[in-house]
Amino acid sequence: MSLAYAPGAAVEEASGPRSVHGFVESEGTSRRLHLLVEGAHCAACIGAIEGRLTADPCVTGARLNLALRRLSLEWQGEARHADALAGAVEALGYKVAPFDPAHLARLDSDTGREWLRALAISAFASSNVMMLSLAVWAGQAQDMAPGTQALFQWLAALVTVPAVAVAGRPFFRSALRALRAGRSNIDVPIALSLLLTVLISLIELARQGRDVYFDSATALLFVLLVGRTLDFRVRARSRRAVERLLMLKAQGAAVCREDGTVEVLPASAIRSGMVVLVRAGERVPVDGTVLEGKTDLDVGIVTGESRPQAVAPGALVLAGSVALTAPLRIRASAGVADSHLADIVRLVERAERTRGSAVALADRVARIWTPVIHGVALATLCGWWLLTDAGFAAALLHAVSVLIIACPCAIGLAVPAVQVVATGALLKRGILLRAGDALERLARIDHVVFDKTGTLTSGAPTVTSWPDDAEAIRLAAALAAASRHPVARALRAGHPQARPLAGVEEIPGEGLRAPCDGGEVRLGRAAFCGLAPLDAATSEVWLTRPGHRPVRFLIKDAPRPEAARVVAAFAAAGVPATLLSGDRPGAVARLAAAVGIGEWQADRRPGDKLARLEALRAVGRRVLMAGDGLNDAPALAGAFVSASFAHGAPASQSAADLVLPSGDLAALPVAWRTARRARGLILQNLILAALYNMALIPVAVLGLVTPLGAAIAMAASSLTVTLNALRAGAPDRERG
Amino acid sequence: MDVLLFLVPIALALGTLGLAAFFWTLRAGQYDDLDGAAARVLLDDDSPEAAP
Repeated sequence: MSLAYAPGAAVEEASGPRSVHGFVESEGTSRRLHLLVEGAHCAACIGAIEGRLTADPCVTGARLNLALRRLSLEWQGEARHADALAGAVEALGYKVAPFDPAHLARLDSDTGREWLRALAISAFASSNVMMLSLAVWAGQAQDMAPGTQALFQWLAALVTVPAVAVAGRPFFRSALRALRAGRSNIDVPIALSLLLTVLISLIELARQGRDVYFDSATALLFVLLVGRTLDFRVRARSRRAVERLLMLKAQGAAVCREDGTVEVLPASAIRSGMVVLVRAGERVPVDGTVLEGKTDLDVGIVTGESRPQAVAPGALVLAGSVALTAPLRIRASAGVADSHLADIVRLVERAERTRGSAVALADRVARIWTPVIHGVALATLCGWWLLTDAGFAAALLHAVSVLIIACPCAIGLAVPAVQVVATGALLKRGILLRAGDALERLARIDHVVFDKTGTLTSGAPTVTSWPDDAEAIRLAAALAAASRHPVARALRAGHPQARPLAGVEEIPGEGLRAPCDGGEVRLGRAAFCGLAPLDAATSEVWLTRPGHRPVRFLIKDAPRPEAARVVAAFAAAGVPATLLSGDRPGAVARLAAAVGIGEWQADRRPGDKLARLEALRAVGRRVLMAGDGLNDAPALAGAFVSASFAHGAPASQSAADLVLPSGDLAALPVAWRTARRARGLILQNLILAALYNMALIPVAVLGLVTPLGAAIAMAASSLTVTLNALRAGAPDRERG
Repeated sequence: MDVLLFLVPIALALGTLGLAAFFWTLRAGQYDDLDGAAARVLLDDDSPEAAP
C-alpha cells in the first residue's frame, strides 16, 4: 500500500499533493520515514537528495541506500512535515513512494549477510588449509619429518571441522529439508560428500594414514559458496527491481469524510459505502457506483477492451480503470477484499496452486547422479572387501574415495554459474526475473499465448488515416490539446505545435467543442457532430466546422512495430502463438491477421483466459503467457512461464515470472533466446562435469587416488565449468 | 624446524583476526549498499577547513 498516484498507461500526469505522513514511525519527538526514490542512480543524485534534506533544520539524518533506492529520513517535530520533505525530493525530479517493508522483506538482506558470512569462513578455511596441505605434499617429496606432517594435518583438521560445521549449514539445511519431504536435491550429495570427506579424513588422521582430504572439503565448500552467493545477489537485484515497480504503482484512495474533509487512505482501508474521489488521470481504487461526474473510463487494463467507455452517475466502475477526462466521485460498493481486483487475486492464487512446480534441472540430475555414484561406491566396497584380501578398513577407504572424487562440485556449480551470467545479462537489458527457475522454464516452452491490448498493441490509439486537409488537422490538434483522452493525444500528434484553442468544452463520452467565428467547431463521435457513422467496425472521429465539409479521422489501436517480427521469431522455432483478448472480435481478428497469428479468441474474461491455459496444459503444452493487464493476471499465474511488462498492472507483474521493460515486446524473444542458450550451457556444463568424473572414478575404484590428485581434479573441473558459463552473457543475436 | 610451532599458529591467528574484522564490517552493514558506497567516494562532502 502506498499513496503514490499511479498514472495510467495512457495518461501521464496525475497532479496534486502526495501524502506520505501516514507512513511515519514515531519515537518520542523523533520521526522516521523510509521512502522509495526512483530515478536515483549516481553520486550526484545522492549528493543532491541528501544535501537538500540535511539543509532542512528539522532533519537529523538522511541517507540514501542506492542498492535499494531507499531513503531513510529522521527528523524532529511534526509528522506532517513528511509531506514537505517528500515534496522537496520530488522537486528535484525524482519519483517518491512510501517504502513498503511488506514488499521488500528484511529477510533479503539477512539472507545476503548469511551467505557472505559463510563465504568468508570458507575462504579463510580453504586458503589456510591449502597452505598446510601444500606443505605436507611438498614435505612428502622432500622427507618432512612425520611428526611435522601430522602437526600440519591436525592444524588443518582444527580449521576444517568448525568451518564446515558453520559455513556448510546452508547445504545441510537444504538437504535435510529435501530428505524430510522424501525428495532428493543437489544439496543431498553435496552435504553427504562434505560430511564423509571430513569424517574419513579425521579417521585417517587418527590412524596416521595417507588419505587426509581436508583441503578438498574446504575447497568444495568455498567454490560452491561463491556460486551460491553470486546467484543470490543477482537474483536479489532482479527481484528488488520488480518490488520497486510494485511499490511505485501501489495505490491510495482519497476518501471524503462526512464532515467534508478529504483523507488519503491506503486502498486496503476502504470499506463499502465510503465515498471516494478519483481525479482525472487516476486509477479507480475500488469497485463502486458513480455518484457524480461524467468521464471516459480507460478499462484496457481491467478487461482488455481498447476503446474507452463513457460513464455517468449510476454506472458501475471497476477497480483498476482510469478516469481519463473528468473527476469522479464514487461510492465504494465493496471493500478491497471483495472487489473485482480481489476476484482476480483469488483466481491468481488458484492458478498458482494448480500449476505445480517444475523440478529444477540440477535437482533432476542429482536424482540420477546420487544413486549411480552410491552404487559404484558400494560395489567398490564389496569388491575390495570380498574379492581381495585388503581387509574391511581399506575397502571402506577406497569406497569413500570414490564418493570424494565424484564430488558434485562441478555439478553444484554448473547451474548457478550459468544463471548468474545469464540473469546479469538480462538485467542489463532491463529484463527482470522474479522466479528463480524462470530461465529454466522459459527455455522449454512449446507454445506462446499473447494478450492483445498493451502487449501486441501499444495500448494507445493511433490515427491510421488522416484527412487530406492540413488546416483540418491543425484545428483538430488544437482542439485535442485541451483533452487527456487517448484519442485526443493521437490527434495532437498530427500537429504537435498547434496552440490550444480557447474555450474548449469537453463532453465525456462524446467529444470536444469550441466556439468559433460563425458557429462552433466540434470534434468527436459521428452522432456528436450530427452525422451518421460511416463504418461501425472501426473507430472514427469527425471534425465539423461551419462552412466546411466534415472530415474523418480513422483511429486504431495499432500493433507494436515489432509485434509481427516477435510472432514470426517464435513461429520460426516451431512455437505456435495464440491470441487471447478481452476485446471485441472485430478488433482482435484484425490484429491477429496483422501480426500473423492464426488462432485467436475474443471477449475472453480473466477466468476464460485461465481456462484456455489450463486446457493447453492438460494436453501437455508448456505455454509462455505474455500479458500486461489485470485481466491477464490469472492466466499469467497459471501458465508454465509468464511475462509481464513494466508498464503493466501491478497484479500482472506479481503474477508473472519475468517483467519486461516498459512497452518493449522485442525483449521477449531476447529473454527466450538467452534462456535457451543458458539451458544449453548448463547441459554442456553437466556433461563436462560428468566427463571429469567418468575419467577419475575408475582411478578411485582401483584405490589409486591421492589427496593431491583429488584437489587438482576438483579445481580443474570447477574452472572448466565456470569458464564455459561465462559464455551465457554473450551479446544476443537473432539466431541464438 | 621448531620455529614452525610458533609461526604456523601465528599465521592462523592473524587470519582469524582478519575474519573477525570482516564479521564486524558485515554486522555494521557495510555490504548493504555496495552501489552507494561506490558512488559516495566521489562526493565532495568533507569541506576544506575554514581559513584562519
